[in-house]
Amino acid sequence: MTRLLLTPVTILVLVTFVFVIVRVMPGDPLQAILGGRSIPPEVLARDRALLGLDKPLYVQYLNYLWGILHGNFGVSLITTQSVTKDILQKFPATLELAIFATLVAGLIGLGSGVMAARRVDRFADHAIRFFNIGTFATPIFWLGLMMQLVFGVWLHWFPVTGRLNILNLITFKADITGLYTVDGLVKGNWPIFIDALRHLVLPSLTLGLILSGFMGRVSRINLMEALDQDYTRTARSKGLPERTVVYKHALRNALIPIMTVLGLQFAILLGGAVLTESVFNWPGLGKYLLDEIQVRDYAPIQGTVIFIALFISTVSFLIDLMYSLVDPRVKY
Amino acid sequence: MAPQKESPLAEWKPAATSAAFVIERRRSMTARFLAQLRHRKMLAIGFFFVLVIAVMTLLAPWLAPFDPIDQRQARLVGPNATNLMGTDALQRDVLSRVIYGGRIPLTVGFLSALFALTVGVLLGWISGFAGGTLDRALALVMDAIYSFPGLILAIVIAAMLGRGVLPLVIAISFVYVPTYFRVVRGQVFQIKEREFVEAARALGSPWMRMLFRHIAPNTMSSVLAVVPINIADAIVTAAGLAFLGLGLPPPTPDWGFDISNGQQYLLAGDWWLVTFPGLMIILVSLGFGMIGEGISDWLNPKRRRG
Repeated sequence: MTRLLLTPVTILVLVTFVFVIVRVMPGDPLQAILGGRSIPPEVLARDRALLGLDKPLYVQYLNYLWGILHGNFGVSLITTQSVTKDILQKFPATLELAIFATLVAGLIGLGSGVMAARRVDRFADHAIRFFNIGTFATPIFWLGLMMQLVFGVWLHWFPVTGRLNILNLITFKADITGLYTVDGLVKGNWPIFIDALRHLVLPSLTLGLILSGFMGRVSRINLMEALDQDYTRTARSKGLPERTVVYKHALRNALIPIMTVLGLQFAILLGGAVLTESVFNWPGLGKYLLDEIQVRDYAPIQGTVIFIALFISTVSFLIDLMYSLVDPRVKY
Repeated sequence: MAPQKESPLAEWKPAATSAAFVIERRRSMTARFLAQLRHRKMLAIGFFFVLVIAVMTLLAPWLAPFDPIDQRQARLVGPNATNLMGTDALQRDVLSRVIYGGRIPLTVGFLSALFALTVGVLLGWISGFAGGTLDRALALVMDAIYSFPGLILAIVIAAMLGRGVLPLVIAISFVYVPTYFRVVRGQVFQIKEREFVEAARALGSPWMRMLFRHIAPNTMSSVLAVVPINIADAIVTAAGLAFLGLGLPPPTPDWGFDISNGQQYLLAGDWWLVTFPGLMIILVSLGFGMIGEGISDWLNPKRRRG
């Protein structure tokens, strides 16, 4: 429960922090927006007043906090609509990528972790450990580009950019959840579902592979610990088959610390998503953030950062709740 | 920092049997270090990778076959006898750019690790030692930074500070401060309760002396395992920022930026522009990553057994 109480404080710290970075750092936001162009001083003064930039810094800060409390993050100069609307439009793309990448990371990470823990210090264990360090050392954008090269350019197996083919993008409206795979399924539109899946393969594999290393290592250590416990010995001496011992008795107990790490990793996942979205031209939050950074558009940058902080807090809260599903001793 | 009888390196010994321990003690620190290298393959391979890249980067002017910004090569030619890694769209030799391209990421990697280490460790010492409200407030701020995606934070900071080595260093080191802070603070909490600190306090040591002479040196060994991982991560992050165009302005050779330049030719099948700089990033961060792993094993030989 302490985490729930801590969340608003964490967000306040981050929000303040973003404000400091964006507003107090050298450079006038208005000048940045207008570029080097010479603007009449009276127009400049009017625009400053319009944006509230003529007020003292603490008033600006309070105004800014007040706006956030009301879900008002300002207006994007690129899309000329409210940042909140922009974020809600871009978010499903990131969410879909994150879900599929988590699936990939979970399958590969948990699978390799279980494999390594059952063969400690044997070949498979060493190979998996090397793979884990490799995923840590590989720049995610490079892996993405290599995926494009091998599976897109050389083998022609999967599309390398975007979420749907252009034609489908025009005809299909994902107006239920914004996730093309889900909306395709719900509307019974199989071609869309397949097309969305095919577009998801390379980005989610890229992001998922990078994350799977850490996941695998945490699974291995925790499962090894569980396999060393008294209850595992009891299960074995009862004559239960090894499969049951590993998957039902040991793994289930190892899942709680693994889930904690999965929650922590969610931040890394979103960071990686920015680069993945850039490589695969994936129209999500990360791409949005990068586009706005290109033109130093302050309101959307702040808004996106805060939204990401909120999103991460929500996910870690949900994971806390999920403990009670895995471990009946935990009650809320 | 006040000198201390045993350097942190002395603490790296695995819990050996007493006989082996005595023999170990008589040898010089270098000899012990080399012996450890031999025993720890992971550490040795890591050091080898790092050494190769470091030598290559330092000796770049002598090793590179061409000037990295010289635009008199053929245009977009794959690897061949003259240009071993091919040439780019601006008629430059890719191999020469790869050899020079480590300078920025390595400098940024080292400096930002140093920055993060200094700030994080100092804050960790003070916070852990002082306790109370100051400690709670600092821990809260650090947790907030820690919970946020480091890369996104670095992107935003780097974008706001402008281009250059220093902005990159600040942006990247910022993200790693909480890691050092957490490690050191936890250690200080433990060491604070030990008898020798109690004894120092009873003898009336001033707090500066207690912190810097008795507590601080004992926290350093746990920090050591973090440093190589930090450097590896910082190099990958620096490459990522350069890839996004937030690094140094062109034509400075830089692995990350060269990869983003090659990206537009990748879909046409010109693979060499992206592949080679990326392999260099992997090699060097793999090297540091393995050193980090090796040190962790060394500090904590039982860890691998769970």
